[in-house]
Order: sequence, then C-alpha cells, then structure tokens
Amino acid sequence: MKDRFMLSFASVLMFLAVFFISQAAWAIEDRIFPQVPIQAPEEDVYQNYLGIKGKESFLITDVKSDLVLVQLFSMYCPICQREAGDVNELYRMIHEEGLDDSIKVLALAPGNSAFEVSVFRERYDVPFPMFPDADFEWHKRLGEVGTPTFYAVSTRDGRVLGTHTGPFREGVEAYLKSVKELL
Amino acid sequence: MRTWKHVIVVLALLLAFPGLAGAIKESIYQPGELKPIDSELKVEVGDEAFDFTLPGIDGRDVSLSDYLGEKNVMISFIPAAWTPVCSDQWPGYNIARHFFDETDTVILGISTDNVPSIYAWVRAMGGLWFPVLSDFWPHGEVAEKFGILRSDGTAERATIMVDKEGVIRFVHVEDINRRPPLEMLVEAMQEMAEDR
Repeated sequence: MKDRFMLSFASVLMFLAVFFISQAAWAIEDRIFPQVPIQAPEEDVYQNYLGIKGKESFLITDVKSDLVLVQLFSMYCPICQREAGDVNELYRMIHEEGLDDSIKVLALAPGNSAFEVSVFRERYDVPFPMFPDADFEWHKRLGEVGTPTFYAVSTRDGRVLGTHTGPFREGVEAYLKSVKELL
Repeated sequence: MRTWKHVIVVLALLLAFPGLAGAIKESIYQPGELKPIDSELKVEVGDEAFDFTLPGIDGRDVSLSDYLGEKNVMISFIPAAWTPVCSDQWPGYNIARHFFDETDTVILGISTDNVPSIYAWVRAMGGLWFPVLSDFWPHGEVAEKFGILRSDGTAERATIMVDKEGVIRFVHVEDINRRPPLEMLVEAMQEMAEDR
C-alpha cells in the first residue's frame, strides 16, 4: 500500500519536473521585436560581426544572420554577473559550430551608461557587441522585464520566436540546442 | 522504502532548483514611483565629517573613525532592503572594486533596516565585499545627522565621500527612483585620490 502511494507521489513529481524543465528554455512568443534603430558600434570588429559595416544605426532585422539572440542585462544584476561566463561560452560554441551566419548575439543594458557597460565588458571579457540603454527606452518597449532576459528574434520579419528569463538552467550546450531548434 | 525516499528527494530538488535563481527577484517589494528627494541636507563639501558607530551585518561595530588616516570612505546610503533599485545598486560595486582599490577607497553601505533584514538581503544577492551597516536604532540617527532621513524613515539614495583627513569631499543625493551613475562616483573618488 505504501509502495503504491510512493509510486503515485513520485509519478506526480516526475510529471511536474518534466513539465517545468521543458518550460525552462523558451517561452513561445508571437510579436514583433521593436523596430527601433540602435546606434551602430564604432568598433570595426562589431560592425563586421553584425554585418552592418558603414551604417550609423541599424535595426535587429539588418543583422546578417537568421536569428539574433538579444540579451537584456545589467552590470548591477548579480545573476547577469554569475551568468556572464556561460553567455560567453554560448557565443564561443556558436562560432565553433560554424553557426555565425545563422545566430548572432548582442546585448542591451537597461539603465546602464556606456561607462557601466564597459565595466561589465572588461570584467568578463565579453566578445559580442553590448549597447547601453541608459534611459530605459528599450526596457520600456520590451515590457520592463527582469534581467537577464533573452529574446530570440528572426531577422526575416523581426518576429520574437521565444523569450527566456534567468540563467541557463540546463547548461550551455542544452541551451544552444534549444536555440538551434528555433531556426 | 529508502529507495522511494531517495527518488522523491531527488525529484523534489529537481523541481525546486529552477526556481532558486529567480527567488531574489520574486522577493523584491515594488514601491512604485516615489518622491525623488524627501529631506534637506545638513552637511556640505568641506565640512569635517562627524564620527558614527553602527552595527555591521557581520556582527562587528564599524566607526567612520576606524578609517581616519588610512582610507578614503564612500558612505553609500540606500533607502531599503528588498526594493528594486537598491537590489540593483550595491552588487554592481562587486565588479567595480578595482576603482575603489585604485583610489584607496572603502565603501560603507548603510540602510535604516535592521540587521537581520539587511543580512538576509545581502546573502540573497550573493554577498558584497564591503561592510554593510544598520542605522536602525535609534532609528535613522546617522541619516538624520547627514540630513538624508526621509519622512517615512528610509534614507535617501545618498553618497557621501570622506577623505583620509575626515573631511567631506563629495555629497550627492540621487533621485530615489534611480541609481547614481558609476562614472560620477569613480570621477569623485579619483579626484579625492589625486588631491592627496
């Protein structure tokens, strides 16, 4: 009798665990990412990476890839600080798997000045472009979500394919796999 | 029976873990937009700083005079633990520590919350490298002496820098709804260090 109860209890827990873990990667969205120009980075390396050479500003849909992962972060956010190494690893894995033409990564920093963004970049040696959002303009347009939040945006039509808030709970490799499934 | 217990414990941990990282954010109280500044300063640049002693969350009392002749001090008042802007201010100083080290400056973080509340909040944020002190009792006495105690008993989001001679070199009361920009603080610390 006790065994049957335990079996039922464990089954419920198992169902809930599978349900929550399957939900942990991406929340499916169906909206257009704000089509607002972002000032192009001065550095050639970032202009080349994004494929926006010569532009003064760009839209997410201008980025030369199939999908852009836009991370909202803050240098003041402890979770963003703890996750920085994983996000760098994600960028590195995208490059090593030859997916540079398919997936690009950039970051927006609500409430952070250019100086504050540079502190975060230097501290964690971040290789992808990061943009300050000092007056929270992007943050407001995106619904004042918490940091870190990732948006997977299709460059074909600017549609948000999925969002994800918090750290990579299943590890970087599993996370990249879930990104590839959105392609 | 023991096997079942193990299975259930593992599954329960599996369920609990994804929520842990979000716990701090979900615990934050949302006060809404507040009156930007609600007090009148009683100190200014050039004044000799008064001494104070407050209990730290590590169980030790800390006095401003502990640093006299040794370190510049940045006194960072935040309004309240477990609120949004405050929870996104001090953790940033963890990755900006080199600016403080380069200018021989220490931070004293102060809140008018009591020690247990501040302790739990700082732990939830993952810890801080500088002393965090409670100005809870007599309530807000130090904040009041600086002229930065708000009418609801919280402190302003204020930064006061005191040099090694005990002279106030920088005073800034930020809109309570915003963070003081890091570059402003770094510039003030660098000026204080260069003038030595």
